[in-house]
Amino acid sequence: MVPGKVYDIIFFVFITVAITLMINPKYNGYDEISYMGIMLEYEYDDINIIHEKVYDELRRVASPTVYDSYTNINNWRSKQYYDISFFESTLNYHRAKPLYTWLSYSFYKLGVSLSFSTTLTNIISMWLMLLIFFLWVSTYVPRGVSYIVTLCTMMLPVFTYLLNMSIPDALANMLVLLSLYLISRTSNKRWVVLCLTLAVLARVDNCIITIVIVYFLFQETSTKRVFLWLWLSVLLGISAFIVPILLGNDTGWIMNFAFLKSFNNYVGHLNSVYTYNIRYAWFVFHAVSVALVYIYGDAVSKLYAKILGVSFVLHVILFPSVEHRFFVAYEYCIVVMLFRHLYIGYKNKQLISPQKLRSS
Amino acid sequence: MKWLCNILFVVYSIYFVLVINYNDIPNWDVVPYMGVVARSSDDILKNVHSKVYSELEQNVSKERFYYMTYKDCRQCYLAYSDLKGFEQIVSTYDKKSLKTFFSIGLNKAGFSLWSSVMLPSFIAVFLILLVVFLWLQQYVKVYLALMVAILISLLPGLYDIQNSAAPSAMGCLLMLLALYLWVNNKNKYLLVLSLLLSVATSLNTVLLLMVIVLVELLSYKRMLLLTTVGSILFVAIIILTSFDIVPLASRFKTIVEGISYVDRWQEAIVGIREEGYIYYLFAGIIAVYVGDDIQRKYSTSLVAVFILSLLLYPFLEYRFFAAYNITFIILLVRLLHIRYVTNLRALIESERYT
Repeated sequence: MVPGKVYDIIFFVFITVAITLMINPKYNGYDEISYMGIMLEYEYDDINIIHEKVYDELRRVASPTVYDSYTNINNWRSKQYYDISFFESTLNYHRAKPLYTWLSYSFYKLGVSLSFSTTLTNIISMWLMLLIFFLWVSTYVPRGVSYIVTLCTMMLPVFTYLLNMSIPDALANMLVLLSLYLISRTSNKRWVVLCLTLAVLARVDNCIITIVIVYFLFQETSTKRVFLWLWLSVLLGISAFIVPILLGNDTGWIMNFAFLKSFNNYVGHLNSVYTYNIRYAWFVFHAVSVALVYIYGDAVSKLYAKILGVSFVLHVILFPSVEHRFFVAYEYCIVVMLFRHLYIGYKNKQLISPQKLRSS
Repeated sequence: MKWLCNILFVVYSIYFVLVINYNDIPNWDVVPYMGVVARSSDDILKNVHSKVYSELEQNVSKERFYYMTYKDCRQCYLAYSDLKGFEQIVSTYDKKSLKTFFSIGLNKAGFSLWSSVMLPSFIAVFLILLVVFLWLQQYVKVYLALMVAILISLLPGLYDIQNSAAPSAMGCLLMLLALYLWVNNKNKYLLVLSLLLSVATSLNTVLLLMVIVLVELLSYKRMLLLTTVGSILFVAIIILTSFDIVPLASRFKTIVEGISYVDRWQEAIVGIREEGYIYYLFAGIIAVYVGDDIQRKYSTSLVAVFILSLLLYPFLEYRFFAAYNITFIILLVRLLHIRYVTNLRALIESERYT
């Protein structure tokens, strides 16, 4: 075996151990109630049984304080506990992420506990995300640097959060990152579209990046194809809307988003994005990096910067909420592009150095 | 194009300071700082107390006033309900700082207590944005400078420093100005002046001063002498004008306690990860290893100051690091721009040879 590959394997064994040590789900995120409910819906028809089983499981795994927050009548979270019809109605909102519940349900059927199966999907997704990131960044920078960069990426604030929460964001981000990686690695664009389709099934708002990628990937090859793939994207978007209905949602499920309740609500959300949501270190750093990579980068950097920039803006317009967990794949891609740009620039400088030319 | 961008940015900065970055619920420290300013013109504590709280009532909502005086906040309640407690708290905030003198000056010029303590922070943030914009224009085109400066304005540190009556905003402005002058090789006397003023505003800046002195040791011997003598004089003036060595001694005691307190270190490490400082260290380290010699010099110094600050005072608050965070981003911009220009020049030259 090539020595470099051995180092890679050792490195990923280390990463696996580190991730294992970081696993510490608290089940205090509120969404797990609904996801566990949906998983049990695949088995039971009676909502009372589902409700009882979900809270039994929570009592078993969550700390007394967390469980108390779910059941204490003075806490807003307890509404799902005391009002079964409300519990049933909140399931609708979470049906829009079927891939996550299907995968979690598969783990549950394989013998993993109901609660941990909602986390296990994330753990595997985050591990795969790091692997994709490492594979991608190591194609541009030396191996040693890729180890350090991957470790630093693992240190980023959102990593531990996604690892331990029972939400579909880790899976959705992993699939988006895989799609972005495949754009640079494969000429067969079907794989990219397949990954993006899965990403939409993991989080419905991924239809935005899907449409943007499809547009930028196919626009230069043929005009007819642009329209073809645009239609496909629209179809994807519609499917993302219909799939939850096929899975048991009512047609008005999309109206569960608070910003769609009224125009004022929408404007309020948009306003809070600028004054509050994006005022974080991670946002400023990545926004500056993507702008610089776009301006100073080559065609590849520009393509990625355009995809990420346009998707982000569209996302803010259509879903006016900016949370770090929605954009982790974007973040990883920006870091790869930044390093790619820096390293390629460094190599070019070496290659076209006038001194070297003179001496040759 | 340039003048339009300049006007646009000034308008944006004003709007930013007055609307986007403005919080009508300021930090509680506005109370003791108002107390410090009021005490400079009135010796009767009872008058000072009633003046401070009547101004507070005028400037914040009823609900906020309640939360700035209620029982669950021990310090707030103590300052509100007990004159002795108020005096004790005010005296801990009564550090001789350039910002305090500035606030006292504003008050004497006719500004209300509230405006006297808050206005310097507002003006400082506005000027910080202008310095950032000016600095960026040294490297990139004006429209890009405008875009990056707007992004930098979104840093959480700027929000913290503006909505607090502490000297952090003014300290950040002077530090940033010093860094701008230093990195761009501008007037050395202005650099020394801004460094000394920043030390006079916030004593923590002495670390930056020390590192700059060390880095410049080899190249500017005269400057070294001047800066060293100046800084010694300044620290001496600060100690002498406070007429009390005890607070300084207790300050050092706090620093030593901070270093030996393991939980604080754990908090700092978690903070580096979760509050996003890792991005700036990331940017700094990239600049150290990938940049040219000049870039390496500044980035290494900044990373050193960042680490030293953390070692000596392990409190990760955005307000302490705002100037460094901004500078790291600007250095990243400089790095990419210079790399681009160098590659372009090399390409042109290689075309000439081939």
